[in-house]
Amino acid sequence: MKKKLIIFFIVAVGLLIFLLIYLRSAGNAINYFLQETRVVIYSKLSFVGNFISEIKTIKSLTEENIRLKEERQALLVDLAGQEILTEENIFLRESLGLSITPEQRSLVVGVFNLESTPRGHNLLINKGQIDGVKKDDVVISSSGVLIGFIDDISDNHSRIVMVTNLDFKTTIKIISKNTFGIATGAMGDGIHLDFISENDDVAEGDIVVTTGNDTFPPGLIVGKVTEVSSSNDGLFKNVKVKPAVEEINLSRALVLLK
Amino acid sequence: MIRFFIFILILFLENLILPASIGPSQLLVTTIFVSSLLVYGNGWRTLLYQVIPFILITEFFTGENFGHLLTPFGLTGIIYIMINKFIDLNQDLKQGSRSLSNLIPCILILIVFNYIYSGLFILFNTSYELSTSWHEFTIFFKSSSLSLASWSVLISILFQYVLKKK
Repeated sequence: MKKKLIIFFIVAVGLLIFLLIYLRSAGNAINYFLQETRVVIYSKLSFVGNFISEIKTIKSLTEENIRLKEERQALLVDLAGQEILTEENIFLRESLGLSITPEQRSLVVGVFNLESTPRGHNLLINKGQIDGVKKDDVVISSSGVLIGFIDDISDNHSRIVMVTNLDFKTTIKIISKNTFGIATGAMGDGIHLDFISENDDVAEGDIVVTTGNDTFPPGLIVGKVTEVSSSNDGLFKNVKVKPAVEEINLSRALVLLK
Repeated sequence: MIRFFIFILILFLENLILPASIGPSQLLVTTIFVSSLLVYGNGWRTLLYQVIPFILITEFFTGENFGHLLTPFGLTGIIYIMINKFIDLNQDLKQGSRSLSNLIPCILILIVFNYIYSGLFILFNTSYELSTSWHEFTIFFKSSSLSLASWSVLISILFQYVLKKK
């Protein structure tokens, strides 16, 4: 019995190595078959998870309802102002002979795996090279929350490095304030903001967005400031941010194609 | 065979069920389970016939490149086996005692094993830059201590009282 088990394991390992190295397409086919099932399972479980977390907040529903209505009203006013600015922008570009910024192409993807490694979290999505996904493509949610960027691609699937991963860095600004810095992933600690000087204006509750001065488009929501303190050297502040990605449904995402 | 099925269940739990239900959190359940196989196993034989295949399956399931998890884990396993040959860390575990005092050394061994694995994983993924690796390891250490300890306790209890051969 033991001999059979040993032989079984040796054959299984040999087959797996053979599949991984020499029959990559067969491996991808098996993965493709499994990944669509996992996308559906992930989506259903996310719904359950969101439902359970909503139940926890049921006591404060009325207060939250009033707060959200006020926030919606303020956002509608901002939206109206933005539309005017967009029209003005297009008019000025045409007047000066500058090209109009083309609309960003995006691809809807399904998440089927969230891997936890000692360097942070990686997501697996069900679209790859065949679908036009490229390395370093930015991944966001439908509501404009930054999820991460594409780190590795195969024919049928790709891996996303999330904003909480230690590999992640982007330039950010605080909304409605003249404060700029660099956001770096800090795993369970969320996101840390670097190069925020003692004189910079930042407070708990501030919304952090991308500046567009690097590979990430501008205006993507990174998170909300949760803690501000002075560092030991007295030059910079220690700022911690709760990633917005922790509050959204991660079963679907958008890949911004280059 | 039962260990294989538990491993598959843990793989789904860590990569699909828990993240979808509770969101992203620091879990190393699969590596803790596989390292438990080594701690409660027979050294080189367990490493070759159980640990390596399970880690390869994990790599395939999570879309990692070949050897990405196997290299740091295999190296940690070899270090553990070498140390075990001199100090005989898991002598009491093999003798079959099911007392609580037998559980604590196992939990500590698992925690240390997984921290060494994590340290090597970070080192190999930061192009062997020691200062960057150390900085990242301190962040990992702060954010994962509770989760690592909790799962080590649970998996030790599973091995000590459920999966242990009588």
